[in-house]
Formats: sequence, structure tokens, C-alpha cells
Amino acid sequence: MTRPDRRDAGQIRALHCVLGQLSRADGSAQFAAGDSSVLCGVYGPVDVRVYDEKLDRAHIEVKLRPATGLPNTKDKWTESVIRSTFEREILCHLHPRTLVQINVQVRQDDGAVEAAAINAATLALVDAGIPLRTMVAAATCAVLPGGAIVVDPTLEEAAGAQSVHTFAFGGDTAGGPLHVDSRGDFAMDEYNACYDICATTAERVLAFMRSAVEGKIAKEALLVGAS
Amino acid sequence: MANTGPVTFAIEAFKRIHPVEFQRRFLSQETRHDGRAFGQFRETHVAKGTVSTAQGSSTVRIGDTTVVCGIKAEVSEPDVKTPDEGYLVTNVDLSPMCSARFRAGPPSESAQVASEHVFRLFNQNVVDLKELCIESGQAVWVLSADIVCLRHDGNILDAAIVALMAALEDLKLPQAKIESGVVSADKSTGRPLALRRRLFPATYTLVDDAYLVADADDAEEQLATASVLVVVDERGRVANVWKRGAGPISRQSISQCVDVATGRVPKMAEVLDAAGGQ
Amino acid sequence: MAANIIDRRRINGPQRSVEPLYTHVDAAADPFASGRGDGRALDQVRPIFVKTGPLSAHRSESALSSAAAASGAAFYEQGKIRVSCAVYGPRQGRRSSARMGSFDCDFRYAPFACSWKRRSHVKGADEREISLMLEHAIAPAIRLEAYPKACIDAYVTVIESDGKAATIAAAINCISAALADAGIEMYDSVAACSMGLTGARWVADCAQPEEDAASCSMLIAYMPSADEVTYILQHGKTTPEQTDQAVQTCTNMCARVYAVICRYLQDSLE
Repeated sequence: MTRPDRRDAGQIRALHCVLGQLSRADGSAQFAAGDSSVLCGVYGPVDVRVYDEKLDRAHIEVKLRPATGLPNTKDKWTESVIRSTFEREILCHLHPRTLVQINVQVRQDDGAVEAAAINAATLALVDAGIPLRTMVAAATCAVLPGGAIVVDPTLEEAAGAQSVHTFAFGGDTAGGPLHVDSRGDFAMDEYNACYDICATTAERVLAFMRSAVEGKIAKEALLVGAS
Repeated sequence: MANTGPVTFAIEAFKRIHPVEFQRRFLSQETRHDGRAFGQFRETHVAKGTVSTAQGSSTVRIGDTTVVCGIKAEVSEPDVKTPDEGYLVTNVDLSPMCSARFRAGPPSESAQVASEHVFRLFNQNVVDLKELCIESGQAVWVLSADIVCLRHDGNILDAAIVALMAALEDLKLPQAKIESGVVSADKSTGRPLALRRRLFPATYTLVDDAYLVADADDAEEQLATASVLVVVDERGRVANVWKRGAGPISRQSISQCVDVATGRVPKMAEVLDAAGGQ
Repeated sequence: MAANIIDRRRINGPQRSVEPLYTHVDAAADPFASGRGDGRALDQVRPIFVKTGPLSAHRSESALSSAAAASGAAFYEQGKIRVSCAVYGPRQGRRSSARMGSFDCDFRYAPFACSWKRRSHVKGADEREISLMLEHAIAPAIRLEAYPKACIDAYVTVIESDGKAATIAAAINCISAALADAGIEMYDSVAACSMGLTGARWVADCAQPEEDAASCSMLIAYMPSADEVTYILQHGKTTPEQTDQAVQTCTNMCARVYAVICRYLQDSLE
């Protein structure tokens, strides 16, 4: 089976990421899968408003801006998903009475943008040096009306799909999913198949992100050594 | 150890001062603070046609959580891109009336997330927007479904989904026709709206990272580290699996939640059918 | 025909939507032509149902009530009118130097509560006005001097309305019951009742079609034990004698409404 963009069913789009692109943020990352691109900037730990202050841990705030227009409830929904996914993975108790702000800007939305936002947030948090329990990676796949499962669907594929499944995993995919959003009309067999595909995809994405971080650290080490 | 005797607390004081410890005492004994077993849901009560000023309505009570859903049908021009599709608008209202956790003013994040989630579950998946067409390109129905929470004691999403489902089944759309740009409708003739599927929700909540409980109430939700919402339909197909929060819920547990939710369908369908209408 | 205001924190429908033109509307003749529509006597209030505390059949033990639960809550029905109210307080006030407590009220219609067009989420001028009216009607009954620096908040939502004046009266009765449930110190419970003038007759507790046909409407909030009126609202013109007569009848009816609410409150304690 070939897809409109001539990918195999199990093939993800070309990944691309840049770390530390923003000079004013404590950490930033751009993560792109094909035409879906997300930029994320992290500030933290910084001062927290009195109202949000927590005595024993850092407060996590996520702001998501869509590619066009003003944020609406759909973006609020994604914000809440990102926050609830990272709230536990960030070691909040190391920075009590502070704020970690995750700002996500969707640059281009061509499907699977929630997964891209989670991946970008992981990279930006690592870049900012925020202590994490584990690196989080997310992947999406879709079940098409014929029953075929395609990984990393484009906006067009997702719109025509029978169901769309997004999973986020920590470093160890056997430990259960951190986030699941499966919606549409599906049987549990399809869900399980999608789970397996997304788990392996997430592992690959994680390996890619890890090498990107290692590459950046190696480069910085070279610079330090040269000066 | 201090040489004083054991410290005694009034139970209410203990609950307020050490909410986590209070719940742990129960959960570690395989029970819950309201006496339910881990897998036990609170009873769901549904009444249809409870608001006569709305075209479709329902009242749903799950334990102390109470919501009222009212659907107002109005007429509008269709979108240029979809000339034969109507609109479904779903909003969940969580005001300070239902819980001290909410403030007056614009919708809180939890209200927005609930509205958006319910909207995605029902728009096109349950309600076929083409059914809402009066005259292609000229006039369509707008169904404004407002879900007002009267008491919030946990599990608002389940209550909202059941309430919207019941209100949609109660909905009577008047026969409408368009003449020289004016839509007239006959109030005496109402047709029920054909729905694509019937959704039945079930929520499991992970309390204190260790105990997976069904249908958590407000006190348990405060200690939740993750929750799984499962929505299944009457044919045994799944409509939604949504895990929020990164607390550890294994893959097997999620599958078990789906099994339980599917097993609950006949009973829930009975509750929904028995709700009748006016 | 007002345009729906786009609020990005809600799911929005199309910019503009209207009610269809309903044909076969019930002949809008005089609703009083052959007695009252529902067979009530002219001075009869619709049947009242009050419930305080949570809505479930069995009241959960107060020791285990949720920390986020309101201090007091009530659900009130009067015919088709349905009002729900939660009271919080006494809790920390906004003005820390106040010698008297304050009572604030937030009145809202549910979007589907009225028989005409769906109400916008934006708070209307009428809702603000009614909020103020409720504050004025209830505050005299509360011992505010007993709560310095504190405030008491009442949040009222109308689930279904049937006659505007009657709905406001129902809201007052509902708040009274919720205040009693919250254990707020009061001189007396406020009971309220409304009337409409049709021809030369006063008709108690008008439903929407009756109110539309009435030439004047009167709303009275009254403390029966203290025999004091806390609020009078009259729309439309009457002779002074008619007003006198209305105040007299209305206070009598308020006393009856009061008896119903008090009986319920007493029963709920047992």
C-alpha cells in the first residue's frame, strides 16, 4: 500500500530538530515531522505568581499557540494534555515555589501535532536543564477505513481515518503509556496493534532525540575546549 | 517516641488536615472512604425531558454529581464549505454553584477541556451534521447543548457524556420548511434525531499512584495522578480511550477498563431506556 | 437577533442563529378567559418543592462531605420553575476592615432556561439587575454585624423559568433555604411571592403566558415572623388602592410560602 506522500504504512515522516534556537529562553527546541512543525521554549525555574505557588514543588504552566488565529478550546485541550503528561515526569520537588513555563508554538500543522508538541517539549526541557525523570516521546497512528494502519498520519489521512491513536511513553515503553488518546470507532484489536506500532515508533523517535541532544552537548564541549 | 498517648482527631479534622493519609487508610484496606469496592461505580440516575423550555433535555446524577443538559434548536445559515451540514455546539458549565473549586467568570481550564472533549466525541461521531440540514446552502439547525453542573462530586465527564446522550435521544426537532428566506417550523410535529451510535462512558482513576478505582468522587480526584476515560458504544466498539496524567497505569489495566466498560453497556442502556421522556 | 459573541474559551456555533418562526402557536388569547390554565385559584401559588443539601436521596454524612462542597445548598421548584443555589460562607471578605459582613449574590439563567431564544453565555443586564435585587431583598434578614470582615456568597442558577417575577421570587426562597442550610445567622427567613394584575384582579404567581397578558406585576419579599417587608418591586401602573391591596394579599401568600419552606427545613433536621 502506498500513501499519498509515497510513504510505507509503517514509515514516519522525516524528523528534524534544532535545539537552543531561541536565545532568550532558558531552553528551546524545534521539532518537525514532515510538514508538522512545533517550536517550544521553556522558562524555568522562574518566579511564580503567589496564587500558583506550591510549597513543595514547582508549578508547571503550558501555553500553546496555534499556527494561525488565537488559541481556542482545542488548544486548551492540548495544553492540558501536555501539562498532565509532564507534571509527573519533571522532578518538580527539586524546585519548590517556582514556575516552569512551557511555551509551545505550532508553526505548521499537518497532522500528529500533539505528538510533535510533546516531543518538542521534551527536547526543550532537556535543553533548559530541567531535571526529568525520563525523556518522553510520543507517536501517532491512524486506522484507515479499510483497516490498514498508517503511522504518523498527515492531516488529510487523519481526517479520513476511522480512528486516530496518540500514545506517549517514557524511556521504558514496557512501563505502560504516559498518555493515551484513542478516538474514533475501533475494536480493541486495532487499539492493541496501534499501541505496538506507536511504542516502537516512540522508541525510534526517542533514539533520534537522544542523538540530537548528545550532538549538541558534544558541540558545546568542543567549544568549551577550544576557548 | 513522645510519651503522650496516641493523638486523636475528629474524623472530619483528620480528613481535612491529612487528605492523603485519610484516603490511604481506606485504600490500603481494599476499600474506599464511602464504602465502595475499588471497581464499584456509583449508581447512575437519568431523567429525560426535564426542562420544558429546551427542545431536548436530561438530568443525570452519578452519586452526588448532578448535571442538567438542555438543547436549544435554532436556525442559521450553513458554512459555505459545508452547505448541507448543521452545527452542534456543546459547552460544559462549571460555575461556583457546583463546587468551591470553581470561580465565577469565564470558563476554567477544566470546563474548557471538558467542553472540547465532549464536542469531539459527539460532533459527527454521534450526531450526523447532515441530519440537521433544512435546505442545503440556505438553512440548517444549530443544536446548542449546554451542560450545567449543579453539584460537582467527581467524574464530571461521565455525567456530561451520559447527559448529552440522553438529551439528544430526548430531542424533538420540529418539522421545518423554508419559504422566501423565512424558516417556519411546526411546534406540534417533532421528529427524533437519528443518532449514529450510543456512547457509554466509564472513568477509572489512579489514586496515590497505586490504587485504580472506578468512578472517583471529588476527594479521590484530588489525589489522582492519572485517569482513564473509556467510551464504548452499544455494538461493543470503542469510541475513546483517554488517559490523562502520567501516573502508572499498565497496558493490561487499560484493557481491563475497556472490558468492564463494555460489560456495563447493557445495564447502562437499560438506565438510558428507562429514563423515558415527556 | 443579536450576534453570538465569539468567546474562544467556549465551543462556538455560527455567528448568528435565530429561532425559527413557529406556526401553530397556542392561540394567544386571554389566558384567564376560562379560569387559569392549570386550574389554580386566583390566589393560589404553584406547588412548591424544596430540598437542601446534595440532591441525592440519602444525605451523605456531614462528617464525610467533600471539602469543596458549599456551606449550604438548596434546590427549589415551584410549578415548572426550577432554581438551584449554593451558599459559601462566612468566608474571608474582600474588604478586611469592614465592621459588617457583606452578602453577595450571583444570579444566572442557564442558557436554555427561557422559553424563547437561547441565552448568551455573556451575563446580561437583566441578570446583573436581578443579582442586585436579590442582595437587597435578602441582606436585611442576615445578621451581617455578626460576621465582620467576612462575606457570604450565594450563587443561583435558574434551570427553568416560567414567569420572570415568579422566577425571582423562587430565587429568593431558594437562597433563604440555602442560607438556613449553611447555618448563617438570620433574623428571619425571607419568603417572596409575585402577582400580576389582569383587568382589576390580582392573580398570584403568574406563569409566563399569564405574565405576558398581565398589565402590572408585583414582587414582594417579606419576613413573616418579624412582619417586615424587605423588597417591593412593581412594574406597570395601578391605583394606590390596588397596590395596597396587592401588598396585603402578597404578604399573606408569602406567609404561606414561608410555612412550606419552614416545614421542610424542620423535617430535614429530623
